[in-house]
Amino acid sequence: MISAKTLAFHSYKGGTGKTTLISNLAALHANQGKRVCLLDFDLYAPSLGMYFRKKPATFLNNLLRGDLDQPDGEFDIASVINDVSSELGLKGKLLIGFASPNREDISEIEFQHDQKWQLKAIKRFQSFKNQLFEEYDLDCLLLDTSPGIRYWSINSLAMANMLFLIMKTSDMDIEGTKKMVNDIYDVLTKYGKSKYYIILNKVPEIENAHGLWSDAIELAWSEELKKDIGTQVVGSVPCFCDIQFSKHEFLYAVKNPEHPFSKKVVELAQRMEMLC
Amino acid sequence: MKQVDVFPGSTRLVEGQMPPSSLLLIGPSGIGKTIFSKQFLYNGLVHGEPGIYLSTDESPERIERSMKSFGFDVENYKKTEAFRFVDCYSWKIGNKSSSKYGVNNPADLATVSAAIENARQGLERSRLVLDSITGLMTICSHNLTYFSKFLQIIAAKTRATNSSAIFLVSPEAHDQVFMSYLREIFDGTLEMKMETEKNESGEEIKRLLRLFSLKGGKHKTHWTPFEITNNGILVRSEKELRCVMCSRLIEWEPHKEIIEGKEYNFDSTECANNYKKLKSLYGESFE
Repeated sequence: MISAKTLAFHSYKGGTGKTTLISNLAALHANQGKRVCLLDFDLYAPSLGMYFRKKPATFLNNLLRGDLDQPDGEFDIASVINDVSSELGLKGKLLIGFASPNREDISEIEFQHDQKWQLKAIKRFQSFKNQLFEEYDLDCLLLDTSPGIRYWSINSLAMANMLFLIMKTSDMDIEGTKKMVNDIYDVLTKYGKSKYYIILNKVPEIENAHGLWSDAIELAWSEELKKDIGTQVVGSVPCFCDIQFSKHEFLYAVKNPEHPFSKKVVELAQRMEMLC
Repeated sequence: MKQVDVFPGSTRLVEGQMPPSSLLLIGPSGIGKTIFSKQFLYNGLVHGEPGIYLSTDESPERIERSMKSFGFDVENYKKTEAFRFVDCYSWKIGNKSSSKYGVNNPADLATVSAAIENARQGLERSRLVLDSITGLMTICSHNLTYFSKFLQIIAAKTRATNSSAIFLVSPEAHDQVFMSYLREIFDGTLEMKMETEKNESGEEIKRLLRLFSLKGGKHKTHWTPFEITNNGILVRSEKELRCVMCSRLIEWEPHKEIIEGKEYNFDSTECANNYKKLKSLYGESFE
């Protein structure tokens, strides 16, 4: 059971399948009866709204801007939190905070404000997170972050106590991830009990004597990456063309539990729980 | 889970969960005891705890109107009988009470007791306000011992049903012996006082509240300022210490950390750790 934890999902580059994985993991945990909140802190290229096909009126951008500030120092958090549990038929709670896909909002967060504004926004984020855990009695909070070393990906990672680096098994991803770990992850895990782990995603299917992608191959990767990057691989998810190229992949882990991808996500979730 | 106010400001004055209690609320006339008690009842209604209001000085209609003026709309709670009036006022002006629990002769405490019991029928974990001890004392014809027994029985029944209650009293109307008796009867004592402060625009009245005692609960005992606003009573912290990471008010002991030779106050170890992470990454510009 992941309890009262903040988990951030990050990657060196885009296209690692981070959003699909995080959405499926969130829905899976919620379907197991947990109270899960998922926040789209990929503020520069938000995608959870499109994934869940939602067009809310209030976004996390409003929170950071101060639109949800209340006189008592708290926030009107109900306006930015969308409960999708019943429409998805989940046993527990899945609450989602979306980021604005509007050009003006993305440009605002990226270019329009000075550092003072940004620092105030970070403090709002921290305070909002505290309030979320208190008001919704969450079991865990999942943060989708922007790829690479960007201002709001760093801020989101700093708020988490478990960091998951999603990567593909390509040289470019490995080298980039390695550099990123040296640049920021050491500091991000220096204070408190924060730890970071690797999840291999979209791994090419490799045939061996026992069938497809095997534990032995995963183990080999794990050892190599531990040497290179300095942390363990929690799990690996093969690349499934039907998911990768489907017109609208949507929560296979809950909607299509017999699919091999769903089984891999369940296995990954179990391994993640063991880390807590 | 977030603690919610049982009475106005209780989360600021009591650490952790406030135990169900019978509290004596002492304060001079006009300081805000009645609105404080109405807010206590409304907080309960909103969180599913039925409320009973005994008044010696206001009709049920006036109570409802005054509550509404602070945003405490009890109309629906009244319809579902989650909110009940024990009316000891209408008798005074010779009117028949509009309440099902009107008291024909509040001068006789036995009838008051019976009306409270009647109003409590079928309610568990309810809230009661007796407004006020002073009002009842002026109309009843019993001696001190009988009166304190009457209050003791209500407090005991409040405990037995896991309920909470507030009993209002204006100290200027009673002698010291009676006030000492009262303090013994209840689980805790809340006190209110007014102070005048001189400032540039002349003299200003400052209202203060303190939780003098509370059985079974760790609490602050110092005087805390409060205001009567359009939304009811607002209890402020004596000194506003805020977390440098999340900017929230630190209600209890701050988590102190010395970073680069400077002391900072945080709301939690998480805030302190996140602050250190960001400061390490952004350098001096992160303040």
